[in-house]
Amino acid sequence: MIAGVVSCPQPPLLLPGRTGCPVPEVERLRTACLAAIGELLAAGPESVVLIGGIAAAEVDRPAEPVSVRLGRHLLDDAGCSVPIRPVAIRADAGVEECLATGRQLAADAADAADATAAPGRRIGCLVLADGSARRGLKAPGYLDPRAAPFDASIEAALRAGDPAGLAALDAGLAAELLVAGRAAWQVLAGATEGHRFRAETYYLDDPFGVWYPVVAWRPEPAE
Amino acid sequence: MLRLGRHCFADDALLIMAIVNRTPDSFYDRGATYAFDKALDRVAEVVAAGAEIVDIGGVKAAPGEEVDTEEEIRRTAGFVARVRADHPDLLISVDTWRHEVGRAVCQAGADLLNDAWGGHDPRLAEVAAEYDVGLVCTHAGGVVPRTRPHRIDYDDVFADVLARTVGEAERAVALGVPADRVLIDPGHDFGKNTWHSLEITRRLSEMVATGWPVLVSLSNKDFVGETLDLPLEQRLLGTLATTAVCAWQGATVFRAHNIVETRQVLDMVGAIRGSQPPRRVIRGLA
Repeated sequence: MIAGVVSCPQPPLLLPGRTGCPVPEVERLRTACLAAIGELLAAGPESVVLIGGIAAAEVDRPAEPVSVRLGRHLLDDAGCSVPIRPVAIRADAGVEECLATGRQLAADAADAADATAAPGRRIGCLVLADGSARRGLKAPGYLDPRAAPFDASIEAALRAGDPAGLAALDAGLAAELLVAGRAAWQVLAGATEGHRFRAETYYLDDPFGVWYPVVAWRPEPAE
Repeated sequence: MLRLGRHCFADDALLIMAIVNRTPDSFYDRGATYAFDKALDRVAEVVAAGAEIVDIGGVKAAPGEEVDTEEEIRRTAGFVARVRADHPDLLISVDTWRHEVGRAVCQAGADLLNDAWGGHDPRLAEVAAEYDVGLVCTHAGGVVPRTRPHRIDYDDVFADVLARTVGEAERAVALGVPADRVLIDPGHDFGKNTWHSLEITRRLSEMVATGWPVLVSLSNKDFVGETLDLPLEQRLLGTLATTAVCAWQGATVFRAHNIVETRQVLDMVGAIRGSQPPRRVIRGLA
């Protein structure tokens, strides 16, 4: 059912033109995102679910949140020609709400597959999520020594292809550490609950003090 | 007209507010004037270079070591008293957001409270009224002092700047600060990214048009560094270009590190505008 998952970061500086002239560190990140998304699309999904968080300042605005807009741009740049279904979740949504949203996503996809009598209908998933913004003295959120270990726990879950590791993230601590992607990752966790994946990492750096993981999950091959 | 201390300035005045920080860690001077004597020397230097105002600050704007109210007063109030004694006619501004610090430095002789964080402590304006000193009302987007902007955006940054600064100015006057002692400042880089800071610069004439005297604090800031992709120590030319653009549009006070250069830029713009005479015109008239 799931053709694959890509997790990309969600900084506004990845939107087209936002850095003014191209900035090498940002272009390196963009290249990694497009490589991961390109391979996801090459697996031939019939549609892509795009999961992204709604920041507090974006809640009452009519426009799509930055995370979703960015996801659309990245998919477009990677040559996506299949339908995109955005799923926006409040960045401060509780763990249970996120998991439930993810489970519903998976259930809807299963129902749709049954309805069209199309076994093996394959959905790709792009999650826009980044880690802590408090990773150093020059970071936007300054330095919090808890940031690196928290991000390390996210990295471990991503590398292990383990949705349960993402489901276990502490929402309160994530909020204190300005981990913008916690809710989106937990929607992913709900949607992929019970499955395991092989992970490939494309980028794990923090050039500006915010953690930007680019990781792809592919379904474990059937026995 | 802008009235600070015992001085009156015309609407087209171009004044320099020289930064003298009593901090060990501010971004540009990095502790150069933390020591009392070094700071006093710097005051004498900037006065000689043509600054009408000195702005004394005890807490760096960026995140870092906490400086509580008591420590901030320790760094500033005694120094203000000494500068007042040494330079009776010099206008003394203090860069603080805290009303307790405001009170202490006004008692020591300060003429102006420069609140860079936009009224975070609403009682600071009351202190300005109580002591009949000036107040700078700065736009900072409502952020907590000493935090960096993180993914801040505005539907219309300039509308937000006008609403907040003019709102603060009107509130100050309602509390008893004389209207001719109030300035507004768009707050370059405070709660803003480079795009925002460029826009407020581009549209500064609309801020001047409100009638409140405008102060700008541009010196060596990140919006200059990001525009030109230059590190801190190479931002003087970009700062001076921005200074000229703001002066041309009618800003009144320029908060600066580099006084000699800023004075030349302002004198040049003043003469081009026709609001101040060139110094020595002989050529072609002899």
